[in-house]
Amino acid sequence: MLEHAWNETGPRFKAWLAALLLLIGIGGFCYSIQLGTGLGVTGMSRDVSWGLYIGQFTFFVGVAASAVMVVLPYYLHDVKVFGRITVVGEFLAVTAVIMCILFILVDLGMPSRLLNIMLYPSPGSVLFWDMVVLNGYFFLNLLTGWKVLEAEYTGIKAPDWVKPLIYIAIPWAFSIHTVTAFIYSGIPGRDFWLTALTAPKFLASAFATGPALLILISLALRRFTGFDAGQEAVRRLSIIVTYAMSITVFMILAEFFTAFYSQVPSHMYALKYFFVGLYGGNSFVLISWIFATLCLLALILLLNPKTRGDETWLTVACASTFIALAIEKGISFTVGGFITNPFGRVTEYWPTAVEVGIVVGIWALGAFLLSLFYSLFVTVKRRSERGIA
Amino acid sequence: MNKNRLVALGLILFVLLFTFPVVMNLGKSVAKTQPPAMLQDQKAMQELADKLGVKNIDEFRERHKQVLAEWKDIVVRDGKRVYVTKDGREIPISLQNLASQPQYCNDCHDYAGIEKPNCWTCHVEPKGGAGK
Amino acid sequence: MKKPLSISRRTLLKATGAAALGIIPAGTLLVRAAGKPHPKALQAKNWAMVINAKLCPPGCRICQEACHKVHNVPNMPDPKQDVKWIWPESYNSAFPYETHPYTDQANEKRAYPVLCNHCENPSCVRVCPTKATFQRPDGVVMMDYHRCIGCRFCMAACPYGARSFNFKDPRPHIPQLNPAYPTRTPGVVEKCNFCDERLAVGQMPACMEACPAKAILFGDLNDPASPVRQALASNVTLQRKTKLGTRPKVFYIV
Repeated sequence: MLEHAWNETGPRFKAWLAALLLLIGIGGFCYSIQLGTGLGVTGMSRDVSWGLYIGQFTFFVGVAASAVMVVLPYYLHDVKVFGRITVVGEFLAVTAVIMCILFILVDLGMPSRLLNIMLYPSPGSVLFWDMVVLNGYFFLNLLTGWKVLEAEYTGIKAPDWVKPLIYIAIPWAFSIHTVTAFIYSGIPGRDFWLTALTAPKFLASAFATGPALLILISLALRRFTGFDAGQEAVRRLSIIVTYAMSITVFMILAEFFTAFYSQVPSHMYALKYFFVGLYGGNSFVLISWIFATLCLLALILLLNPKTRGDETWLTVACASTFIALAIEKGISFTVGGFITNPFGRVTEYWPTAVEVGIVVGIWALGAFLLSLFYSLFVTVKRRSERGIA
Repeated sequence: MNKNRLVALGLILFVLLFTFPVVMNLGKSVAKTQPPAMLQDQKAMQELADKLGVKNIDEFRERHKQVLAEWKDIVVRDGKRVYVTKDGREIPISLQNLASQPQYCNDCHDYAGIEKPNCWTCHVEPKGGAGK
Repeated sequence: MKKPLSISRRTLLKATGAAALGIIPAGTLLVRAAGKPHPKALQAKNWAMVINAKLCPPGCRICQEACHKVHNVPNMPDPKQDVKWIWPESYNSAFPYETHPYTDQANEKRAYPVLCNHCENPSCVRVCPTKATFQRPDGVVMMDYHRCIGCRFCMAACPYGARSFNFKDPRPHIPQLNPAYPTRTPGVVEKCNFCDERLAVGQMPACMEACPAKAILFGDLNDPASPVRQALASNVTLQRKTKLGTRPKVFYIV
């Protein structure tokens, strides 16, 4: 099916891929700088020892997990309208996992020793389990997504062993984001992370981010390829985004209550740092207010059935949701744990150009893979609908 | 693109991947025909084997990397400083002592056409070494 | 007569298959060769340290200088990416949240040496995905620089800020190389090792030996007769952040 997919793409699509390749190249160049000098070229420090890379990793684990929001209703609740886009979700998950692994790789000081995680397995380490569940999730989605699409292409029912794998992938999706949350919420002395709410909040925000992205992708697919996921599917997805976003904002506000009503200093520090600055450190104030504004905007547009039902407003709401949560989980949450440092001081962090270049490169790679997957998907759909096998 | 072209592309990729090490080394360093002088000095070589705690120079060649890794584990992970060989000899663990002439390590690695040991980027090179 | 190798083809195949699949990870297949302690090695059940901060004058850095010299700890140009094993902090910083604005001014000015606490329940060891940092039976929390992948999970997990990452090559920033101790490669985490390399050959920690005021005591926490236990029995002492349950083994007389 690959060869047909490639032949049916137009020049505009190839130009898009070329542009992405250029960005990937820039990312690769930035990474070669980092490999040469070490992580000293990033904005990280002994006090803020994780930054944009680990934040982005966390965010994309969420995107990967959120595929379950179309798979679960379709397979467990027989929501037929999602039938057309389960594969879109599965390929999104596969791409997101690849991006996650790359974000971890570029964050390592000694990438050549990556395999030590498997050579010296340490079941006590959450990172070890994260590696296990992420790899498992990757193969589950790649296999099921591919087989389901192939079945459609050939017109022959997918083999029987695909179904159980799809069912296994559902709880597995929850596991990847839970384990990722446990990286943060299980370590002493970082009071911003040390809350049982971290894992549920991660899941809630992931289930807002992913479906919001899927809506945007569906609308883009319809515009650029003519593939229509169906209005009903988009409507259902928008309801999922609404619920998940409301729950996310509720949980964030609950964090504020606990911190500021209890008045425990170490619980207030990170939140103060984000919104008003702390001990002279205020590099996150601007993006935190952007985050808050986008959350509010998204909620208003989503909760109002009129705007939610309107495609233009829904696009704005979904973009706001995605950007807001990309700020929150993609960088702020990670840095917040390091405010204050163990001596009660604030060390500022802001990514450097090299760091941003690498992240842009990985995003471009993600977009590149996704574009290829989706062009394949759209071709198969078109052919099967025209009745050509 | 038809299937044949895909197959051809795959074949080319396969060949490139498999011959990668050879291609990379093409014209790089013509293997030295003359082995390093120390390699022919039987006495010096046996001394070296003794310092590592292996029987002879053949075992040195085969196992020195592995023994060095064992040394690291004994020192770092067990906090011990003496290596007990299979035949019960006790060798003080010291990279400085073993490689009193680190240039020899480089020469031999060069001769074998493999990467120079990277020990001396961290462990301080013994005096007299021409290193790097 | 030598016994023939009594391993059937089937078993061998199974074993290689399992190893190849990574069911038996390669690391566990290696049987460690035998080692023996140095004849003069100092041994204990549970190494610990007591620092009498009352004897630490303001601005004193003698222990830091001694330690950093012995262990080839660099002076990195960017203080945010510096490497430190032991260094002075104010009482306020060493014990945040345990202070108030009206404390003894003399105490505020004292230089409290802070270092890895070699916790009995170390969170850094728990989180390490490769066991590159681990707890030895004698209570020393060690780093294996050959194994560290530089993920920095341990730095996030350490509530004492005791760990440093080699953001850049440290070699050019070491004032005077000590040939008896290695430097580190960029990309690995490091920290105080309770002078493991000195204990192993019969010497006490460098910071303790260098301190002119004899403010640092070192010994076996499990031995009631050790200087550490005697100091703990006869003084009011503090540990940093006890509520976290890490059970630090560096005690401060304040």
